[in-house]
Parts: sequence; structure tokens; C-alpha cells
Amino acid sequence: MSSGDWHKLRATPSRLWRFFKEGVLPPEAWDHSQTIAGHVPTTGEWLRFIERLLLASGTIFLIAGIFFFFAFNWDDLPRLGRFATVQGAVIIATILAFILNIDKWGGRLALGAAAMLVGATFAVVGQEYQTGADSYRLFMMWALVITGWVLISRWNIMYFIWLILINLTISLYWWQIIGTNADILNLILIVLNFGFVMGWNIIAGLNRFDFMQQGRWFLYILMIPALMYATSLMLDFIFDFSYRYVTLGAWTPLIYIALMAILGGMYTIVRRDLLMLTMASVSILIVAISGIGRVIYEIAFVDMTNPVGYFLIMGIITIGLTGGLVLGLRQLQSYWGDKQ
Amino acid sequence: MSDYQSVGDVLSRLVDEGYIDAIPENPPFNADDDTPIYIKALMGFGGWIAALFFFVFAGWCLVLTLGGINNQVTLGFILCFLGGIMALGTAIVQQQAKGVFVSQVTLALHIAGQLLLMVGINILLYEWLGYNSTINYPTILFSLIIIGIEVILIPLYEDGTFRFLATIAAVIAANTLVYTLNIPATLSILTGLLASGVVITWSDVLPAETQIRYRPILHTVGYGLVFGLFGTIMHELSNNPTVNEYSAHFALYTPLITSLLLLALTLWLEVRLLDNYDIPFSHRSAIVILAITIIVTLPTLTTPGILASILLIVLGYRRRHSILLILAYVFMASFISHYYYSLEVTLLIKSFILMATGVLFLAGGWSFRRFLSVPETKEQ
Repeated sequence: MSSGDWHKLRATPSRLWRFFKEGVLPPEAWDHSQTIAGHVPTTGEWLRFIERLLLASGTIFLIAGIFFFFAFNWDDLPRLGRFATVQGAVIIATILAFILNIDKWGGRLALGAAAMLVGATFAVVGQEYQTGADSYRLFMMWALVITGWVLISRWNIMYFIWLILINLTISLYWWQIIGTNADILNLILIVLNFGFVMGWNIIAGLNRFDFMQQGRWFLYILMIPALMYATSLMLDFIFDFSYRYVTLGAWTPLIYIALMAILGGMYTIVRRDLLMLTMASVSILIVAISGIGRVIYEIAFVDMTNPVGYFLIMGIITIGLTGGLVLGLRQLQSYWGDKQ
Repeated sequence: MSDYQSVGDVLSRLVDEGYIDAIPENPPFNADDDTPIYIKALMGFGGWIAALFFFVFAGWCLVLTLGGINNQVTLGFILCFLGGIMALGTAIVQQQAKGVFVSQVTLALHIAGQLLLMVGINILLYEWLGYNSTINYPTILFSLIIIGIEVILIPLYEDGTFRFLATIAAVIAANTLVYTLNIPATLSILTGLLASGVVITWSDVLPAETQIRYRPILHTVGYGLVFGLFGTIMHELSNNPTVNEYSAHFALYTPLITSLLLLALTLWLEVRLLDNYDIPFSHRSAIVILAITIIVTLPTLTTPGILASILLIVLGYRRRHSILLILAYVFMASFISHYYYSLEVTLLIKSFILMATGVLFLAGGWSFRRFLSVPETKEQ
């Protein structure tokens, strides 16, 4: 939006306040301007709000009460009764989901509840039979069983829950069965989350599913752990945390550079997304500061008992790195703005 | 939520209604300054990392310089002097500072200055007054000085993050003061004062001129007061005064005193809002709304956080402020959990209470709009 189009900008409280602060609008218009801009609800909106608040609170209290009731009587219920309770809840939630229509909020919430209750069912099975199975199996079965619902749900939150379950399954499997080599686990989780986000972007570009184009917030949430794992791998490499069984060695920087290159290419060429690039920049900043810090320390300060100057130099380098990254992002934003 | 309104739409309405003669040619804000908040966050992140390196550098220099000083009074004075210079210097520099990065580095240095000042003051107070097990004068004075410093700096240091942190620091100092004084009723008074502060900053009780002039301060201090209010309530719920039987006896009732203060404030706010919407006090809707507040409050008097959350929900929705509303919901969920957890009844009775409350709310929600009508606001 160019500066000439400022009339079309949203009348946020902050923008309206500027008019009053600079004396363009008189203080007498303050309250009225808030009402016109929609910053103050009408009486009808208040009633709807109170009604929804009461309904939502009522639902939560009722469900919590039912849970407490079963918790109190759990020991007295026969085994069949316990299974009937949780599985009955799954069936009721599933039927409700399809009656209320999974394209509407009521149906989605019911399907989400059914998916969560499946987990509760497996937990009850584990509790009743005490097979001694590793807990990764619970999450694995949970993820497998709800896969069908996830695919038909057309709801991002279901995919999000599903990915969390898969992440949990892999992490638990790693620590319960393999129990070593954190770097390989990190790499697998990077491939899973990073791959899912990239795959989602590519598939979203090839079809017209609304849910794949909208509500992209969960992709950012999934990218955060992927970037954290990638940053962690590089920090392992830079600081040589050998106690964490580093095995990737010289492959680590190559993998990191490849990931950043794929991310950069995806979000500059295939799809423009400054937020994803900023998130990657945070990772790059941490890795660059750590890498440069290690190199300078090893070269110049390793034998000094008081490396005072080291911190001053690192502070200045950090300012330079941050400035460079921000400048690059701002220029990209400006370039995209001019192209649009 | 209502439909999107543009700046042009609002200005056109104000022209039509005679508040201004014409729409200005240029806006009083930089329409091209569209740096996304996440890039600003990256700048802030980098600024804080750089500041940390500078902290260590400055700290190391300080240790090397002051390492030989054994006299505590001299050390206290030097720390006060250095801290004061840093705090005041950065307060002056930040008024000229442009951009998020510089302002964050300045803020980090300012906080470091304040910390040095606080350490220096603390050393001096304990050297001069000594520790007294009956009344801890150094801590009382120290808390008062911190409150004073923050209150003076909030208007001077023009940075939102600082004002938020300074408010939190002042509230923590006030809580420390109350804890040290060990007079439980003061905790209720402090909570009442904080809640009044929240109402003043987030409602429209102040004259329009004041709201316009002090908006940047009100906005950020308001957030600090919200966190301070709920933090103080948590402090109150976990507070166990130890001085004597008299205080301990009253300590049992402080949440009740706090709840009554909050109830009075919430009812006052609701009456004021009803008045704003021209709904008469005797109107059926007004009576129902006030009655719901009292009915919800009476059984939960021992957990003032529930009422404080209701107060915040009213303020948040009045302002259509999503962050306030989310905070209110989170606090309410936490305090309701605390309330049910602390009920001294069996799990079975708790489950009945929860289910009954749920059914009551559902019935209330279902009947609310069907049986109530209010004069629709003429605006929009």
C-alpha cells in the first residue's frame, strides 16, 4: 500500500490517536470516533458476548463436572464400564461431528474431541492391562487411528495435533528403544517438521483447498521446532558437545546450509513469506554469533585469563550481524512491495 | 466483532457530523512505516544479545576496578553513582534514539544501570540502618525508594517495554513492602489500589484530553498493572503472616476483604457502562447483569482472582482488546481451578457443584437473549 492510500488503512486505536495527539481532531470527538471505528461494542454485541460467554463457560463446567464424576467413581466401575465410558464418549463425539457437519465449528470441535478421546481410550487400555509396553506405542497407535479423521477433517488443528503425536512417538521411541545419538533424532525431527511444512506449501500451491491456503499459523508453529533442532545441531557442532554423541560431524554445516537454502528458496521464489524468512534469520543470527564467537575465542583469547575485550568485540559483531539481516529483510520487503 | 472500518471512513463520518471541516491531506502517522512486528522483534532480539555482551564487558571492567575496595559504604556510593549515571544517561539518550535496535540496547543498559543503583542503595541502607529482626527498616526503605524511582522514571523514559517492566518492578516492591510490614489488610488495600489502577488505565473514566495526552503511558502501565494485580492476588492466596495471632486471624479474611473491594469496583464499572449505553438502572437487563455479578461472586469470595478476571473481561470487551480478554480467560481458568482444588469437599461433591454450575450457566446463556432486550446502540 503506498502512502497515498492511507485513507484505506484500518482505523486502529493507535492511528486514530495520532489524529488527536497532533490536534487534527478535537478531543470532543474522542469517544464518538471510538464508536464509529467499532472499538466500542454496541448493546446488542454486549448481549451476544455475555450469552456466548455463559454458554462456553457452562459447557466447560459441565464437561469438567462429568470428568470429576467419573474420576470419583472410577475405582468402583467394572472394567467393561470403564471401556464403555471412554469408547461411548468417542462414538458420541464422532456421531456428533457428522451430525453437526465437519465443515462447521460445532462438527470440527466434536471431531477434535473424538480424536482426543481416542488417546484417552488407549490410556485406559494401558491402565487396565498393564502390559508394560513402552509409551511411544500409545502415541503411535493414537496417531495411526486418527489419520483418517485428520485427512477428511479439512481442519488445520487436526493436522497440528497429528504432527505433535508423530513427533512424540518418534522422540519417545528414540529415548525408550535407541537411547543414544541425539543428533540423528534431531535430524529426523527436522526432516519431519520441515518436510511437512514444505510439502504443505507445495500441495497448497497445486490445489484449491481453502483450508490449505488459510490458517497458516500452524505452519509457523511447526517451523519453530524444526529451526530449533537445526540450530541445536549447529550449536552441537560449533561447541563440540561430544557428550551428546555428535555423529554428523562435518555434515552438520552442510545440512544446515541446505535447509536454509531450501527455506530461502521456498519463501522467496515459490511463495513470498517474510515471517518464515525472519524466523530463519533468528536461527542464522544465533549460529553466526556462536560460530564467530568460538573462532575469535580460539584464535585470540584462548590463553587469556581476563578476556574482557572479547565481549566488547562480540557485542559490536552482534550489532553488525543483526543490522545486516534486518537490512536484507527490509530490502526484500521493499522489493516485493514495489513489484506488487 | 464489528466490520472493518478504515481511517477514511471514520474521518468522513466526523466531517459529516461537523467535528472537522475536511479530511486532512496528510496523515499524522508515517503510512510507509510498515516494518512488520516480527522484523522489529528480530532487531530487539539482536539488541538484547549485543547488550548482554556489553553487560559482561562492563561487569568485568567493574569487578577489575572495584575489586580492591573493602569499605562497603564506599562501594555502595560508587555503585549508586555509576548506576545513577547509566540510568539517567540512557533516559536522556533514548529520547533521541531512533529505531528498535538502538532503543533496545539503550533499554538493556538502562536496566543494568538501575540494577547497579539498587545494589548500591541496598548496601548503603544495610550499612547505615543495620538488620533488625522486628522491623526490617532497610527493606521497607528500599522498597519505598524502588517504588519512587520507578514512578519518577515511568513518564521520563519513553519506552513501552520499560514502562511495563517498571510497573512490574514497582508492584513487586509494593508486595515486598506489604510482606515486610506483615499487616495482612494492607495486601487487600494494595489489590484494591491495583484494580482501581487497571480500571483507570483501561476504561474511559479519565477525561478525553487526559486519555489522549497520556495514552502511551496508560497503555503500557495498564498491562503492567494487570499482571501486578493478578500477581498480588496470587501472593495474597499464598500469604501466611507470622507476627502474631491477631494478624494471623485477620489473614484468614483478607481474600474476603479483597473480594468485597473488587465487587464494589466491578459493580461501579457496570453501572457506569449501563449509564453510557443509556440503559436505566431499573431496566430488567441492568438488574440481571448486576445480579449475575453478585451471584457469581458470593460463593467465590475466598478466591478474589475470579472477580478480578470478570472485571478484566468487562474492560477487555468494552475496549475490544483481544490480549486483555485472553489474559482474563487464562487468569479466570487458573483461579477457578484453584477455587475448586481448595474446596474442602469430596471429589463427588465437587463434580456435582461443577455440573450444577455448568447447567446454570448454560440455562443462563440460553435464556439471556431470549428474555432480555436492551435499547440497541444508535451508533454504526
